[in-house]
Amino acid sequence: MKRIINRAALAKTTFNSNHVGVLSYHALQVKEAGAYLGHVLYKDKVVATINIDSSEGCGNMQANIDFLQFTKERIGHTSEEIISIKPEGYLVLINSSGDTPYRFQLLKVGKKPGGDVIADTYKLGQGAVYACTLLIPGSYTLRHNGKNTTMIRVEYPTAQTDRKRLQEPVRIKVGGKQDYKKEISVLPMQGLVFEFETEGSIEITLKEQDKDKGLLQKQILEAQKSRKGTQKKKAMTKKTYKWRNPKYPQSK
Amino acid sequence: MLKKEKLYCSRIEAHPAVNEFKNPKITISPYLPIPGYAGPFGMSYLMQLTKILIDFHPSNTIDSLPGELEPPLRDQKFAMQASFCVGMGCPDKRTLDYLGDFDFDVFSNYTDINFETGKPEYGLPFEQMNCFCLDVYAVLHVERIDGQLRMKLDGFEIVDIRPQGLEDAMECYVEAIMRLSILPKLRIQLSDLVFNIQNYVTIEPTPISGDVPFNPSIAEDTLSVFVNLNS
Amino acid sequence: MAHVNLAVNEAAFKEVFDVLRDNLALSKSDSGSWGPFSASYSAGFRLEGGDIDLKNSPDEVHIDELDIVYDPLSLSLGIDIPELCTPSFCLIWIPFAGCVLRVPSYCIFSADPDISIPIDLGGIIQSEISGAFNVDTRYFNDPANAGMSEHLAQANGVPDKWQFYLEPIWLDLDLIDIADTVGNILDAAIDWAIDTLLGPLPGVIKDIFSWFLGGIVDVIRGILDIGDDIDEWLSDLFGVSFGLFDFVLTEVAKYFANKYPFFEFENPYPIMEATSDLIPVLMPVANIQTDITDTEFVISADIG
Repeated sequence: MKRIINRAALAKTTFNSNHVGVLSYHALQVKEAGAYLGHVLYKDKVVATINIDSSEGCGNMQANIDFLQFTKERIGHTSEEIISIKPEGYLVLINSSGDTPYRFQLLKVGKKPGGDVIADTYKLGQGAVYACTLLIPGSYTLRHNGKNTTMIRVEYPTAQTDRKRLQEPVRIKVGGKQDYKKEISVLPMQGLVFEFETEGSIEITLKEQDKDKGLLQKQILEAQKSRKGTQKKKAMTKKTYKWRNPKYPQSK
Repeated sequence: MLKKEKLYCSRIEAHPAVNEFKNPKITISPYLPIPGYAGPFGMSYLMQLTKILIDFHPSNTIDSLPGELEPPLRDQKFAMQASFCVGMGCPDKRTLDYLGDFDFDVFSNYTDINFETGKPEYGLPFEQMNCFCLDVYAVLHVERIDGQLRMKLDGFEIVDIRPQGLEDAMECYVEAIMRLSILPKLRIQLSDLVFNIQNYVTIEPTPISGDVPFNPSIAEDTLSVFVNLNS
Repeated sequence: MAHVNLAVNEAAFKEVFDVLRDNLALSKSDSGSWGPFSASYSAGFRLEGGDIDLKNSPDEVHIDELDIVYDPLSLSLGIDIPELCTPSFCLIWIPFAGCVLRVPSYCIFSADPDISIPIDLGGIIQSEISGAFNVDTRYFNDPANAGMSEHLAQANGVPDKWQFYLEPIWLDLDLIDIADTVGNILDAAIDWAIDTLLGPLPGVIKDIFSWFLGGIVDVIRGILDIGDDIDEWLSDLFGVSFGLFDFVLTEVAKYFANKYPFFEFENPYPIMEATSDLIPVLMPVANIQTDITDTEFVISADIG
């Protein structure tokens, strides 16, 4: 059996809006038509560049960019692919594989050499959206621009926990005058969507992980117990399989 | 004798397999010694049993048994009628004259010629076989011994030889040949009568009872053997 | 009147039949796939027991309660379980317009190929065959003795033979029982499979994964479509999906009918064995007849 385990995702305990990493999503809006460049930076060095074209003729409202493609072999490489997006459309940045702390800058190609930086994950501006899905049950601190704001509690799901809640993310506005709740409660893998009203960054850090409750093992034992209890020993319905020799047509 | 088939008293018509497998047609016996003769030669002779008839009780194949065998054939017996032929390979007189004058003491000086005086190691050459045949009658029954059917001789008679003493002596000799040589070779394994089914079941002779008063049984022109095949 | 009458009673005939029965040893492997569930098995089987009943008019040999021993019976279940993937939820939702931006989903845990659950079912399934047979007499003309005399064929071990086969008229296979322990065996197997699949994951993640799928045990049992009645499930898997029992019946029929005579002897038959210097006395056997009464099986033959 070959298993594919995203160890970075299963071990992630810190989420920082500065970086494009696993289990997190950045939505950057391309407001005007034009030519753009996307710089992927690692430790302040551009490791890759993406060409982006926004024009009225393009129908895409959303373009996903997976940073999985930026492996070591591609450092310094400018992608030949041109990403097309509609004006006022969004680039959605994800990293489906690893947690390398990539920074992303969106530049509009214009008169200034190299272009104007109109968006930067280091400083998510008004209208930017950052989302993440926390996996490990426990208590997390949420910091905005370096200041503690509220606690996020990721529940430890039991068999009775309703999975339908996963379909609806929890939305939090950050920046401006905010009255944060004392504690925000989410399920593992439930979306947390942060809508930036002012420029800034957020950081979520696991403070205390819940202990392993061994629910799976209990479920297995309960299932076995339940099977033994409900499976009444009844006389098995006798089944008969027949073979008849065609040489003897009158055989029963 | 082996090479002189044409001189035999009765022609041997062997099954082709006998030739195919180069089986012997006759059994070799020592030469007949010549009493008082010190040389290495003996007489060649031939004995053959021919024209065999077998008649299980009740008697209806062999016309009439000799009185010495107390006819009629009794229950559980069977009769046999045969021709018993004897041939003697008779050397010509010149050969006998030559050998009669020969002094075998001469060979005692030669260490590489070694024969026992008086024991025939070679046959007297002959070109003629003197044959005679006798009608012989026998009454026999069948016994089960050690998982075999064996034929046992109850009575034996050679007909019409005179003087009586010669007849008695010949009967004695031929009867000894029957009992010691021929009949022991005619034993049949019970397991062979049931096509070796003993690989699967145990074979036991059926015990004597009202339904099976004799086992084996000779009756109604049939030799019957009853066995139980047991799990 | 025949020269030889060989009459074997029921008990003795059973002894003959037992040898035939004990020589049967067959094996079969097969696999199948039904959506997210696949299975393969490897089975060896032989026969034990059986009661013989001889029937007169029509002449038949009836056999009942002939046990089939499945040894080994190895089953391997393959299950395609869902992956653990991030949910796709709405990033930007605009009133009256609805969701305008949705995050893509990607998977952070998957297994390829599926979970493979090996299960040892030796001794679990109890089934019996019953049937009626006709005794079929055949003459085997051994091609290996072509051109040989009868004595030469006998000497070379390739004589012709009279052979007796039990030709099946009908056979029924009854699935009698599946041992209670099959439930425990399946539980243990699923437990082992889950452990193997999720083993390298931390305990917390295992719990989340199981919850995410809706209870992995229930998912597995749902995919297998086991329900409450494991007996029925196993019976249908082997009987209907794999057709194992039909295969057993067909092979048993072929074995009895053609592969192995229950009794045979040479023709011509060596009534007196060979000695060191003399060939055997061979006796032709002809006009073979068989008869079955309520108590005996009889072979009649003429010799000479």
